[in-house]
Amino acid sequence: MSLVYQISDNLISPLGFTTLSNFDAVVSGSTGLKYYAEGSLGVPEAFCAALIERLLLHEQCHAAGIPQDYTDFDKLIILSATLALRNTGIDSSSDRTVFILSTTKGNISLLAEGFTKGSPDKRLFLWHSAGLLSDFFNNPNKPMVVSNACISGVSAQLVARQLLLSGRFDYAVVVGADLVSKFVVSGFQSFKSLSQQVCRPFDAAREGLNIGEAAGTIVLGRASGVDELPANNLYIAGGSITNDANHISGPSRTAEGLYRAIASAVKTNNHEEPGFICAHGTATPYNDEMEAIALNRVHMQHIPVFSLKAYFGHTLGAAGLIETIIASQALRQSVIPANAGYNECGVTQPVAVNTETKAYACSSFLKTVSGFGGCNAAMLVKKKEVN
Amino acid sequence: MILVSKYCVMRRHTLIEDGKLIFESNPDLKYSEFLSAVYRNLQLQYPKFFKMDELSKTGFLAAEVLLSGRTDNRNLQNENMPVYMICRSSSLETDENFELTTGAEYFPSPSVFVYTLPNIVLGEIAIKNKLYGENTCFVCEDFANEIVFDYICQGVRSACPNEALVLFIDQYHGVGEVLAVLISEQRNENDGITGFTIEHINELLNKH
Repeated sequence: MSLVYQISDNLISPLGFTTLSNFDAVVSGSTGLKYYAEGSLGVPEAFCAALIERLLLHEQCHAAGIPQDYTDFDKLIILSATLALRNTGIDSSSDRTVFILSTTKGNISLLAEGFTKGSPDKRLFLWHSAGLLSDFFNNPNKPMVVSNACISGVSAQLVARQLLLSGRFDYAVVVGADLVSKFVVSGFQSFKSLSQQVCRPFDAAREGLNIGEAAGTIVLGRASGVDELPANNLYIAGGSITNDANHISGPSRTAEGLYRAIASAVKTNNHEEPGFICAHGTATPYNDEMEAIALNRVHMQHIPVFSLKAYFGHTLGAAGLIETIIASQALRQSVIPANAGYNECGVTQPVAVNTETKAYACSSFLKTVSGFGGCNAAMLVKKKEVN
Repeated sequence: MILVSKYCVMRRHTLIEDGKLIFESNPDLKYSEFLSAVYRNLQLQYPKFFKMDELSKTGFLAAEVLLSGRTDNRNLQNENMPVYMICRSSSLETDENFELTTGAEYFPSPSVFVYTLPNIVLGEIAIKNKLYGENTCFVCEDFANEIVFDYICQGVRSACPNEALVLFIDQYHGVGEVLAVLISEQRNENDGITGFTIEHINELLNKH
């Protein structure tokens, strides 16, 4: 049976411009999150966020030949895709290669420069950014954008998987990114969901999330079966997108959507248990509680689970991609990262929060995400075992 | 083959179901007033409607035309039915409205911020109709995106039963429009109103 596997990837965050530099930073316990005093980015209240150093970004983009007049967001997605495609030998200008952009707010910070209702700056349209991305690589296909709130990054991978399995494309370049702006910070502040300290997923003292900037790219290809894959290659073994059908801004009390997403993602694998779970774990009181309920409902409360939010913050449309990239690296290297910021269980249904980064060999992981609009997604990634 | 079994077109002043005009408003109404008039005409009792932004109201009403009555009829209920949307302007109108609350006069509101995501439309439809299946929002310059059509067709084939709701929707600066279609996999082309292809969908959009 055909399957979709990972060919290469890239991760850009305050912790580095490559997957490996980010992974090493996670393993060494670094965080990209910093405290920003009131007035930062024009926001009246203080906040904690993970911001990419612009000078470094511009240097890297210059070296990669990305036009200087592009916005930071547009530069970031092109840079991440460039780095991920480097040395893959994939013909990015072929109509057999599709680019998919995952983002929630794209160039939204342009609104702060002033706008006239009815004649918007073209760069505000998410498809415009996707167009610049495919144009940079001379790709002839129509630009694709998946914008599904905070599940976008997993949604986009599952969309890519379906398009590859259908045979229409041979390669998919899935790029996810979001930047931090006054717009996004003030929005989450209005929800009272931001913590001024580094967030503490699943902990009793957690008081909210942090916003982060990142871009992640995963290049996917199709193989005719597991046997065709080289050892240690990772492939998407299952996935599902669901809705809570409950509330647009609060998670379901019964975790209905996430429960269904996980159950469906593992069903196609004979209900095989994943080796670890890379959870959404935003560190808001409601999200983490909901996830604990979902994991208990699918009887996965004993499987080691961690959130990466205390390293990167919540990176919105990039989250599903960058967290898949780190979890994939962990699976390849037989390591499990710690759920940083955790001391004491703060959810009513216990889950096996992994408290230290350590050697840990297994053959699969589950990635979960949930977002506004009541959406949820779960994806099972497996490793081709060495025979 | 994937066919359209039911459709609804809604633009300023008119609401059309399966080719029939079912409501027409006074042409002087603003788009927001037109949306309220459609709500009243459909005799809906759903106060949450009035909290929605115009993009969500647009998608919600079109979905009501196609789905109302289904949840009362267990035979027709399909709680796993996927809902897809293709939009051009995303939530730009609400983005602008929210931006205006973060200037010198700073009063950002969560009830506005939540609508700065286009997929909230899908959430509203899922809540009203108790739909737990896939919901995916694509943002495209124009509706005629063959890759998205391909994806949706595959989604319908793997859904159980083989049907889906698709919204071609856009709303910006006081102007909105939507074509909502219920699609399903059929053996006989007479079992649907029209095909689910770019050409057929463009035809529906141009006809009304």
